Amino acid sequence: MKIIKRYISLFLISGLFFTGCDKPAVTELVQDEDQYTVETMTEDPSDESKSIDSIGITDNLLRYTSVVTLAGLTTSYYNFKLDESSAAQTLLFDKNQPIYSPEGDLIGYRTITPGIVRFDNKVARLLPYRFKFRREGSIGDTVAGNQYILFSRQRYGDPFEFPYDSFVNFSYTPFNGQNGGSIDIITPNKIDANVSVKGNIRNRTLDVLLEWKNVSNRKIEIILCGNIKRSKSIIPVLRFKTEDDGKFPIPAELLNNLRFALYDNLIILLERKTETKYTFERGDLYVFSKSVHRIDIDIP
Amino acid sequence: MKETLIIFIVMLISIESAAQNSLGFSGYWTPGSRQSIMNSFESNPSAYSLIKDWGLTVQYGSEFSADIKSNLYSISISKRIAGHAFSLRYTPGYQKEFLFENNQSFSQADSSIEPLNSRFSYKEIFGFGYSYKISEKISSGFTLRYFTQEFNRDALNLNFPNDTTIFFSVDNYIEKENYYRGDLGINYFITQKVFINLSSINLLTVSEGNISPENEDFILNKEKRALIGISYVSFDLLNLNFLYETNNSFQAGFSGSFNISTKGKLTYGASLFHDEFQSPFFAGIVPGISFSTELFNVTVSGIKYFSYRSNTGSFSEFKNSGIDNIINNQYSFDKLILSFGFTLNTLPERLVEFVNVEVLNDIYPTFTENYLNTPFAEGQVVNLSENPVTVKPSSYIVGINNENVYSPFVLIPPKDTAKVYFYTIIPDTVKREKSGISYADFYLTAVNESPDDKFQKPLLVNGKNAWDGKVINLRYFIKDDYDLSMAASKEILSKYKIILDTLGEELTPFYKSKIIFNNLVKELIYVSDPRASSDYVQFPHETLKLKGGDCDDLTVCCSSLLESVGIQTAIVDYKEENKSGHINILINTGLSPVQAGLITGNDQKYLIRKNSTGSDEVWIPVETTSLTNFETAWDIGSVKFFNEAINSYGIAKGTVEIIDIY
Repeated sequence: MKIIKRYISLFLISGLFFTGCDKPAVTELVQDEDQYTVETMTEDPSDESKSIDSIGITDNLLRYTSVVTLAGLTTSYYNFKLDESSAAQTLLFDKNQPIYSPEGDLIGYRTITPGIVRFDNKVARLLPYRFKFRREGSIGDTVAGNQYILFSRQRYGDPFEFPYDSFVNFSYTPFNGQNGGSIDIITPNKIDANVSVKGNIRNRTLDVLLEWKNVSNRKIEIILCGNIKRSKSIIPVLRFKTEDDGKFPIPAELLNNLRFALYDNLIILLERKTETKYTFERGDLYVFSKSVHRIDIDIP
Repeated sequence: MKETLIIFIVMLISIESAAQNSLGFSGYWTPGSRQSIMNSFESNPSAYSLIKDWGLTVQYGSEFSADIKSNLYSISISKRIAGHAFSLRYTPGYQKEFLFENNQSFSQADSSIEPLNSRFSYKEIFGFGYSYKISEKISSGFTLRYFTQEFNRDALNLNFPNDTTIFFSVDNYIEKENYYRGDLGINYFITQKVFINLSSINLLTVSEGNISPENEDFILNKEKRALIGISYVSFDLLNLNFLYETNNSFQAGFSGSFNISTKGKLTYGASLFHDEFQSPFFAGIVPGISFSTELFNVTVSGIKYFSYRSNTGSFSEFKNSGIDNIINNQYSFDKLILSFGFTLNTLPERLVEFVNVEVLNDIYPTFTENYLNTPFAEGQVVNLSENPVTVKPSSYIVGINNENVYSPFVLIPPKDTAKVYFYTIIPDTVKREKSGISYADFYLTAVNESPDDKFQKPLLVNGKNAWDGKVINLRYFIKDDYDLSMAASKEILSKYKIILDTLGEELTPFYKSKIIFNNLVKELIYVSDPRASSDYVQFPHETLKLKGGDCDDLTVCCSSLLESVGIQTAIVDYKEENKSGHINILINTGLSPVQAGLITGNDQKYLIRKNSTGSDEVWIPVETTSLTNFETAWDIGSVKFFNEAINSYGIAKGTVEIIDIY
């Protein structure tokens, strides 16, 4: 009987153990490997109003008042370099002159040119500022005023060549005699990337590896675009933000899920970019300076 | 000991760095201690166990992470059946989980960054152990343990349902790899003080489930290794223990014990351990203290790591190193473990055991009462316990006994040896015609109902007519046939009723003897023993039936007929050197010494000796082989008796012996 009591006690104690149990402590691991963030650049991958322009400007400018963009663009077909171009652009929006689509959606603002813009003391030309928008299911475009621009391709065109890893002086002189301003815009290093493409879309084994010489420990953006078949518009689809560490395999599980039937080929943009905001009486000035390497590849 | 020291030094010199796999919650204590029932399969892959019957162990403890976590680590049950020891261990607390964010995140529509998470968990679910005791020094066994690994990852899925829609969704993918791990081991007491064990690590692994390359870096290491344990077991205050894995990880420690009461023992120990993925060189210590009795033990042990332990860690380091041991790795926390061990002995504990048994005498079934006083076997017995033990010896002779026959109890001091003697009783019903080999089972019983030890030996069981040559044992032949002898005597005497009725009462025994003898010898002849030996004696009814016999048979027959009608007899044993010897009988006439003249005037024809009540009476020697008549046989018997017993001082020298039948 004594022994039975002892064993009953044992089972009671065991019951207490069960009720008083936690789960063993969990160890949280800090992610210290290469990380990237991915975002979709459009909800409609066939929306040509979101196509990139000739200097690879992909940002939605609607939210800015004044924008200065410097870009150095290298274009390759796979690893074969095609050409290089440079651009310097200034857009000054008049928020009092909104532009609406026929459906009544705000699609932009008219621009103004109230002075002279110089890049490295070179006067920027005035050219019409044209942008695309979606109109009742089709794509329309409109001229919303003028823009300040300098553009050269293969050293032809305007006398402006994007100075990588340097700076460009931007100055503005208003016509009304008020004081202008001048700022030095730092430019990023040139990107000289190589691409390796393996597999094919039929077997969903397409594998794209980008490699470049890493020169900074900052971020780099990689934008995967599709070249729409009927319009040849280049639509950005996915944007990856990752470490500028010289290597990035485009995640195969995302790459192989693209609707390739929409596109003639793929375009990959690698962008080193600086973004600076200056505050003036008239409003904020956003300055973008970016080095872009565009790589076109076929869809295997 | 010298060799052990050399091995120890060589191991220390060869130490490099390696992952520790064999560390359990109790470190590595001397296997001979009672804590071995705790089923630490980590340090004991051969499932070596000292459990005697049933054992139950519960391990409960606290883990000192940022919060104190209490866990039921394991429940073990053990069972021994003879030399086979089985153990089953359920380990709900043997698990480790890691949480981390993937290197992939995505932007939501509101530009917020949404991380993707992963959860990896490792568990040991249960284990089974088996050990077989090959001999007192060697045992061997195996363990089979079941592990699960689950890799749970969030994954970003790009959805492209039509040409105009694209969006992200997050899916959750779970990969599992569950596997059995089997290991073998052998344990060997080289001497009483040096114990070694040799076991495998990951000898056999059988996996189920597929792991993608993405998770391959994270599965538990299944590298095959060997485990060698050496203990110097003094059974005293200090035992030294060393456990070495062939990848150069090790545990080194000590343990000891002493009694703190008559029923309780305090055991203590500590192990230092070394592990590649943990720093410093000695990554930690596992101290423990235990109080144990025959029924239970309570152990408090712990693991103290010498390095800082954090709830966070580096993902890349985890990816590079992984883990080998779920409960002891670079992400483990200090622990305090409380272990309860219970033993349940439905089987008696062996307190005594035979060293040897020797059969002293063959069995003569006719000597029914002989073995009540004379042991037929002798055993040497050792007391295994630490207390005095009263042992009850018993025996069972196949074909003789119907049940165990107990012999006198013997008290044996602790750890001492003693001789025990086995006596037996032979039932009257046992009548074997022929001799043959039988078996005797010898038992030792201490405090329990069932015997502590058993020993079997062959022995010779003779036929019913067999005799060992000792004259005193002829009495069993004489008494065995009393009923038949009485009937024969009464039949003879009834014919002489008239004569006997006319005699004085004092002469009745004499004349009864005379009548019976004369009638007996009329029909009998002297015949040598058919087996030409002295080990065959006829029962009286056989002699009457066969109408003859040798001196043994005739003496037995005559004595039985007389004794059956109340006439005392004694056997005279004439022990002649280098001869087979001779016997005849003395008959008690019942006459007092002064009445001797009623039967003879020759004082050389009788002798005065005491009867069964101590009174002096007249006894006459009669030669039973003289098959003529009573007077002649008396004369011959008297002459031989007085010549050899009296005149030659045979009784004084011991060459003549008188053996009473009563």
